[in-house]
Amino acid sequence: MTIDDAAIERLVTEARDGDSWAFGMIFDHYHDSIYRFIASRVQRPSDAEDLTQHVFVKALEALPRYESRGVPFGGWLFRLARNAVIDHVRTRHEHAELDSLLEAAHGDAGPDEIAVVRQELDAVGAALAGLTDEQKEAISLRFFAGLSAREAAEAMGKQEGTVRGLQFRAIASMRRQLGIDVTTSDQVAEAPGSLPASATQDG
Amino acid sequence: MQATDAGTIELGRRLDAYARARLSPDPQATARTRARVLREARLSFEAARIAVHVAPAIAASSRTMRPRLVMPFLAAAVWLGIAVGSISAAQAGGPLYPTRMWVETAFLPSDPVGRTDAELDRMDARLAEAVSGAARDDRMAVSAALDAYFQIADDAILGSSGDPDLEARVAKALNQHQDVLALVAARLADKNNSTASDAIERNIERAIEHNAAVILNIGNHEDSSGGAGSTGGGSGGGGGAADNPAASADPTHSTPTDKPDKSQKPAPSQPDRSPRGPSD
Repeated sequence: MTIDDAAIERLVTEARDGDSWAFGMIFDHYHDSIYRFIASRVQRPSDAEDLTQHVFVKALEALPRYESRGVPFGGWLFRLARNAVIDHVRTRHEHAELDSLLEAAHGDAGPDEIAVVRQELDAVGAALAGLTDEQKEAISLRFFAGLSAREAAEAMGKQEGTVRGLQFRAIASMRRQLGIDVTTSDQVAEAPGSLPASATQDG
Repeated sequence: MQATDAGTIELGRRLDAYARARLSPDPQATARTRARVLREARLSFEAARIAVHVAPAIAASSRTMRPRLVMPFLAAAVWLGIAVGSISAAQAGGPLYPTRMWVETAFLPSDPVGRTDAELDRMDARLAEAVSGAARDDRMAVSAALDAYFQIADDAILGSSGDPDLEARVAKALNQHQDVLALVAARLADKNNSTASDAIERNIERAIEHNAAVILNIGNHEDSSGGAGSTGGGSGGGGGAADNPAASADPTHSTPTDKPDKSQKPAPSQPDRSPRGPSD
């Protein structure tokens, strides 16, 4: 489902006026990306499910205080998600260390995993685990959640250029870790904000 | 300038495969979450609609000389609205819980003795909710119930200050609650099998510390009044904290002069439920 920013703002206004259908549309639009972002930051799928629900309930409570002021709603919502993850990690002393990531990865193989090489997925998980927290966050927001650089910057409370820089360094690091051709890294350096596939929706 | 190169595209493909295989939500879980969130949304919107109707009536009733006649009808209206399909939402940790606390506060008796009685009952109820939440490993419920408990305890202390009998009753209740909380904390420590339990245990320990500090403060206050049976009417009564802005900002260091204006409680108190969003 694709909804443009103007439509999102309309839905937000309607939800603030007490329209639960509009809030349902907002949920449908953002649920999967919020879940993916959270799942990439916590260890257990059950935690990701609980936190995702928590984020939407928080959003519901905070909606009357939301003011657009040029801030994309997605960025605002992901900021709630980011805070929820930070609180969760702090409360549970959870650190996504390499071993636990791999353990979690081996724990529940989905049907998709049969089609792809599990080793490759583990390697990606290990490469992600090797990133700094901020780099990981930038990759999660930009790639897994599909946010624009502006939305990711809003969610992280940083400048857009900073997020692009984090993303650039994360990509370079992961490519090194995964042994993906690095001879053309100069081309990447020219366009640090670029990402393939779902993360290329910058304005 | 080439935006992406083959290596970056390859990395994108692998990240995409990783996201699909390991970060995709289970459709059943999504449906479950959606149902819960939308239920909360409907209840929350309904509560807001009720509050919009009730708040002006409460304000109007406070301006008349017959508030006690109006209050039961308002209470009934609010509870009728909230009760329809919203029992769980008004439970500790639910979105209507702050509204419920506010409604309870709005309908407290105005005389000090009756008010203290009611506050003690409310503290018992919050404690029961916290214990029940702890039994379920529901840290949201425990946290919400204990936050409400702190608020009510602070109000009860303020309301009873200056009256040694009332202060003693509040201190006794806090003491008993402390024992119950210590028991629950000990059980959780024995359990020691979930991080939720750890979080709940920390919350309960916070409550125990809170009660200990308050009891100590009440004891100090009684000592400083020299057991003279002060009614708080004397201009010099209370002493200490009134001269110290830092102390009077702390509810555990309250004096009769700190007594809040109860009429200034028109909105639900939700300090701990505010997310740290961009609007904050």
